[in-house]
Amino acid sequence: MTTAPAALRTRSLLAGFGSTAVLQAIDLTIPERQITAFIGPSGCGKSTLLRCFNRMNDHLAGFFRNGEVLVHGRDAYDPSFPLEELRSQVGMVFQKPNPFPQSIARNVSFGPRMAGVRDPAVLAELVEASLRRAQLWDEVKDRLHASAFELSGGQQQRLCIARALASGPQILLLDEPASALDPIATAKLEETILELSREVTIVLVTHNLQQAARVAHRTAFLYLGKLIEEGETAAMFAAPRERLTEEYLTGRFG
Amino acid sequence: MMHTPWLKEGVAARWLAAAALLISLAMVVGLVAVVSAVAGKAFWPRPLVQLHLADGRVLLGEVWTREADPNHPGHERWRLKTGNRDLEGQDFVWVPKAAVVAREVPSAAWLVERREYGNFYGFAGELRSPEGIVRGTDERFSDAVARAIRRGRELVEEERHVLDRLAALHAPVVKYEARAKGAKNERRRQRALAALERARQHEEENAAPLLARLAEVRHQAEEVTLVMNAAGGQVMTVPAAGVVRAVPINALGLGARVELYLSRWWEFLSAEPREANTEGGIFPALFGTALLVFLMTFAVVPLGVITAVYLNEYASGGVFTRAVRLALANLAGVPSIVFGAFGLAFFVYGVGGTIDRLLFADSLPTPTFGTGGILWASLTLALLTVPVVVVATEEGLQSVPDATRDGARALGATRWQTLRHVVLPYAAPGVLTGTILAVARAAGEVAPLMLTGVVKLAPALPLDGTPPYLHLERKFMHLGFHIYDVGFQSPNVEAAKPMVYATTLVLLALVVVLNVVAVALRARLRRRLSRSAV
Amino acid sequence: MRADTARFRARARAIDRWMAGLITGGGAAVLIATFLLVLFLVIESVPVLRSPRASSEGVVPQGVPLAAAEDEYRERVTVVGAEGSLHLVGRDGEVEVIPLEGVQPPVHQALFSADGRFLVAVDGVGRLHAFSWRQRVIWEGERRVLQPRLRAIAATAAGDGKHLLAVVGEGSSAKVLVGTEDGASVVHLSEKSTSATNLAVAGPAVAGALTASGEQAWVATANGLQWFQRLDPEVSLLEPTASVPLSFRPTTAAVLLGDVTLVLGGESGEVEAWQALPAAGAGWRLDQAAQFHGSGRVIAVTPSQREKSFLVQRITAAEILHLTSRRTLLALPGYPADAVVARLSPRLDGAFAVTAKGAVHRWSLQLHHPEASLATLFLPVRYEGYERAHVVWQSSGGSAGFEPKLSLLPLIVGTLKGALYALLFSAPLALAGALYVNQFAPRGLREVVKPVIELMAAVPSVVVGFLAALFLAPLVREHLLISAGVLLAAPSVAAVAVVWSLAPARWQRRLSGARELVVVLGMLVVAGTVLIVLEPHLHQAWFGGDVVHWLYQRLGVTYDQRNAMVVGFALGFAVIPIIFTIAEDALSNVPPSLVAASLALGATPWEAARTVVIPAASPGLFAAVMLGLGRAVGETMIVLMATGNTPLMSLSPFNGMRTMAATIAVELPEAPYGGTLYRVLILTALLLFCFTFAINMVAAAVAERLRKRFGRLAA
Repeated sequence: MTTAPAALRTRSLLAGFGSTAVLQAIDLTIPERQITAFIGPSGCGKSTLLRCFNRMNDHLAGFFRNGEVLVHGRDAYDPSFPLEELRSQVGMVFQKPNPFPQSIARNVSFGPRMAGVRDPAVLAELVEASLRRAQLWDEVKDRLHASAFELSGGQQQRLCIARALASGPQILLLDEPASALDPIATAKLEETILELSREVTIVLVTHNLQQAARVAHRTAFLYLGKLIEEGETAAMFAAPRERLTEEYLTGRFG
Repeated sequence: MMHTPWLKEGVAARWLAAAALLISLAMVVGLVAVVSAVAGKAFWPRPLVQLHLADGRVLLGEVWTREADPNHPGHERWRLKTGNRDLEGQDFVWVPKAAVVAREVPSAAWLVERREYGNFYGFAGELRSPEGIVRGTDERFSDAVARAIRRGRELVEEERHVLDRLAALHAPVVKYEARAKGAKNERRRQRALAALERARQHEEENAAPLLARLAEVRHQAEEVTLVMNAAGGQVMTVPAAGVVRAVPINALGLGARVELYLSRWWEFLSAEPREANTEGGIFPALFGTALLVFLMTFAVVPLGVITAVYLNEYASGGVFTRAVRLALANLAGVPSIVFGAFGLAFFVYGVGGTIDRLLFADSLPTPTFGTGGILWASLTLALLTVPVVVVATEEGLQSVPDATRDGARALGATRWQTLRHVVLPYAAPGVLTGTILAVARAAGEVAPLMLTGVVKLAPALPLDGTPPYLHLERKFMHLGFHIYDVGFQSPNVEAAKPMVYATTLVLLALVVVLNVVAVALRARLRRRLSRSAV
Repeated sequence: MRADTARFRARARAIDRWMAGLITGGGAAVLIATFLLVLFLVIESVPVLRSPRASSEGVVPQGVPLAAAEDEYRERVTVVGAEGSLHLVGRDGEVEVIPLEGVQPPVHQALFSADGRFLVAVDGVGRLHAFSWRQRVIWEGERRVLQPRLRAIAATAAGDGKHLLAVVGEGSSAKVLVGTEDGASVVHLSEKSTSATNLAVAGPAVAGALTASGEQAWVATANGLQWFQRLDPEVSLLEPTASVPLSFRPTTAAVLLGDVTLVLGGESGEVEAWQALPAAGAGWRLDQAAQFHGSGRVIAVTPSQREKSFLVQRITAAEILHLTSRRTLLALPGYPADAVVARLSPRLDGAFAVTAKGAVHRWSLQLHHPEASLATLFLPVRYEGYERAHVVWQSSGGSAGFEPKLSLLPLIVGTLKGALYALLFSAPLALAGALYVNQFAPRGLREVVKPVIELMAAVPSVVVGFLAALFLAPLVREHLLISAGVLLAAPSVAAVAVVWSLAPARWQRRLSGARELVVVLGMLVVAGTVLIVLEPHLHQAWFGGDVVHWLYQRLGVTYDQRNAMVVGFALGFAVIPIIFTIAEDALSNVPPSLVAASLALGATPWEAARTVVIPAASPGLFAAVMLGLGRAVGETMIVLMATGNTPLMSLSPFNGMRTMAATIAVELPEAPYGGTLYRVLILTALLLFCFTFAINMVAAAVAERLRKRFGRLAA
């Protein structure tokens, strides 16, 4: 039951590298302002699918794609849709925290700066707002000009979220954001994600079924490049429609 | 097959390998030690020894070497530097030890370093000046000599200054003369002749006061003369302006010796060469080397960095990329002399010749850019050192994690923005390492320079006060070539040896310091690389 | 705000595209630079082998010719007519006539000297006239005008039955070689006096030539060749210094530039070069230096005034031959069958012929670089004054008549010799050192050794060369025994090691790691001290105090102070870091799992190294030595300073050598742009490039294979 309007949508999306197709005819609709988790065993294509939404796959050797990817109804691969524009609308956070070797403030303001914002006052405001939304402000407000490398792993990951938020995206892609974090940092991160989902659409790739169960409103299960099942998380975890889903959720493979 | 224990353990092999390593290391240490030792004492004041020989001759000088006499096996002979080239015609004499009747170190002996004819060794005579005569026995003699030398130095400097201004006045005359002579048609010739006339007039009007001043300065310089007596009884007279320093060397205390030693080093580093480069300083060579590598960095850093960026960030791994890599590997392996030959054929005769035909046709057949010069030499070296910069920059670029690049791209930065704002600042130590290594390599390179414009004695620095200030077409001096030239082409190799060793030490120190800095930088970079890889 | 952003993004994208282009272009720049490097070396060197060309330039009619010469600018051909005047024939057919003063027509014979500056003529009353003939250049505004200047030197009665064979002159005097019925004589003509020297020739002289110096004469009779030295006006009869029978009937003769070689032309087309060489005992002998093939009676031979080429005028053809390369460079195309005179232009940029009817034919010549051919560059050549063919590099001499000797072989051999000695010294040290550091050294040593080796690589070669030449070379000369003793270091260390390994294992175990290194260091120090202490005694006891002297006396071995041993050591210094670094990399790339497996099977570290590591890394070790070879071959300053630069082909460790790189460094700055030497030296550079290119390719291929082999294992 999807009542919210679609933020992301794919139509018979087929994608792969070289001569191997990684995704096969994916039809998926991701509603606005909800957290959608992609789950599935390694190599099932969930990261590739995620990277289709902001076209990060384009930089990988031999990538090909067929079918549509719609971001708020607009074709992401339309040549008239500038890549940079797309990416400032669809933010992304990676597995491992990847702050730039710069100060915290400059890290956060990177996106806006690359989009041409120069006014220091505007940038300072953006930095504060983004850090607050990523629930990092209180921890770093006294050392905005310290190196981002001085932060702990969890803080760094939230910094990356703040950095992505600074560009003002309506959609945030999280690619296993907690995989390099300890349980406490993970909990804090999940809290941040849940808080954020009130304003932005979040797509979360995770290995961790509990995490999906904890934070995701909806869950999509991929297996061998195919979308096996998609629906409300609680419903799916309680009563999967497909046998494969059930086997995966009960840990029979993975 | 029976395995004897010594074969199994391979002690012999292991020890031999260890010995090989030790010998290799000893070679480096030995080289540095020899250069440092010989150069270190090159400027240390040596005592003047007076020898009374069996045949009645009296010699005064520095004992340079003692060795077995090849003419009389079992006997020793000494090589004595007696200086006084103007009186004796030579700097050194061999003295069989057996011929020495008596030797002493006379405290009254003086060393006079002169601008011409090298050192003089002898005893105080007198100082003549318009104010009167100060005798050597007078206790004011030392001070008076020191004052006269200082004044003489001022006069020499003023003379040079006046001469420079005269030369600057005369330069347009030479230029328009050449232009008039080489003019292609009558109209141009007339124009050049008119300009020549104006230049001559200008010279005439302004030269008179300068010439008067020059005569005055020269007169003053000749007025004050130092008269000294050689050990053999001859009298040497030299204007005070022709003396670099005069000291009663045997009478000096340790402090004065150290001062003398340091002042000689300073003179060596800051003064112009004298006497066919065998005396004086190496300043023009130092300056030439510095300017050469400075100009080179402007060519090699952009080219090297762009190439490294291309290979590491843009290349797709196709045929083109492989060709670029192949080209680089070859540039790194090609002997430097081949670069020199290329520099001569391409830059000097090809590009330079074309520039001359297009822009300096008036002064042909005298080449302007169509002959070796600092620009062509630096471009040749730039090509030679491109691989150094590329390798180091690539290492720097590789130390930037891909995740960082992805992060920037995911934030909507273009590839160039990512490079400019994230990757390049991150890789800057690599670029710096490469630049320093390239500079170190270039500073020590000589062979290509010999084909592209280095000279043993350059009449003028490539950078000076006459417009356009930076004279890219000028020939230049270079530390490395200076070593080769003075050590091998000099008419007086033995006398020049201390100078060559000192030059070698300077060059070696320069290159070693640059390398140590580069290695330290690279070590930091590598630590980061290994950290980010974890 | 959004519009701003969009505009900014558009600009950023434009900059991005622009920079992508720029950076790709930058990558291409390196490729282009390398390409240019090769291209320019080829462009500048290949013309040295270009074949000569001649093109016909038209015909201008004129009167009956006796002799002819041309000016330097090839403006006018001066033809001597039988009516007793000079005809200066311009290219447009305009003729200026200058009468030969005092000459009674008809003129019977006339002859120009080889340089065209002297003219002799025998007139209708049998008088021999000598003239000096110049054309001065004067400028009338932009126009160059040649002003003729004919000056009579002297005249004398020639007598009947004499014919002119050769003339040479100097200032206001001339010497004329005339053949008579029963011999030959040289007439010395000057403004003050005239005299004759009769040459003792057996039979009538058919051909002859005078050297440009006027001091020697060659006279050929029907069956023999005679050579006369010291033509003195005071001497009235001169005996030949040397003579030799000929196997053919000569027709004409000329001395080539440089006064060494005589070229003889024969009845049936023979062309031979002869020279006088010191005979075995005393005196001189005449020696046939070269034979050229061709057919058709040779009418005249005129030497070039530029180099060792000469024009052979045959009955139906004219060819330009070159002595050094023994080649027929070309035959003049469209050569008229009735030509009477054919000569080369003074600057060797043209040739002309005058027919019996007086038509002047002109050719322009581009001989390029006749003295260089693949044969002269790479094969033995018999040069002037040499008894046999030799490979010699001697690019320049004092005079214009010097024959450049441009054989690259001595340089190639010298280069390889230097590289060989360098590798003999450095490869074992560097490879063994790398093995030790990689396999046996205590941990941490690597961190010390690497920077030192890098420092070694950074030492400028000029510093190494300087020390080798001025410090090491005299030291080695003085202490040759110690240098030889160093060769004993390896066996003695090995011997002690063998003895030690017989010691109880308990002792051996205590001596490992750093301690082992210290012990070896101690052994080296002790051995060195022993050598230094023993040396003077050995000197006196066995070698009479001086080893070098002893070597020469007993073994006939010459000793140069700057020799291959010294170069090997110095070059080795430059090569060790390369071999060491690459070898160490190769050893490090052997997966540790392989060693671990071997050790687990009970092998000692040495056995693991010997049976696993070294074989696995051997392609890399090979590549290291190859790259070291590449460096040694191309190194310039060290060999320039530490060898004597003598281009001799000796493999003795006690002699020096001259390498390609050093030759380029020394001679290229002085070589005139576009000249033969310049091109040959650039060709040498190209050869060096090709050699190092090949080495790099091999090393790269080996490294690639190694990566492939271990890429899977290491992953």
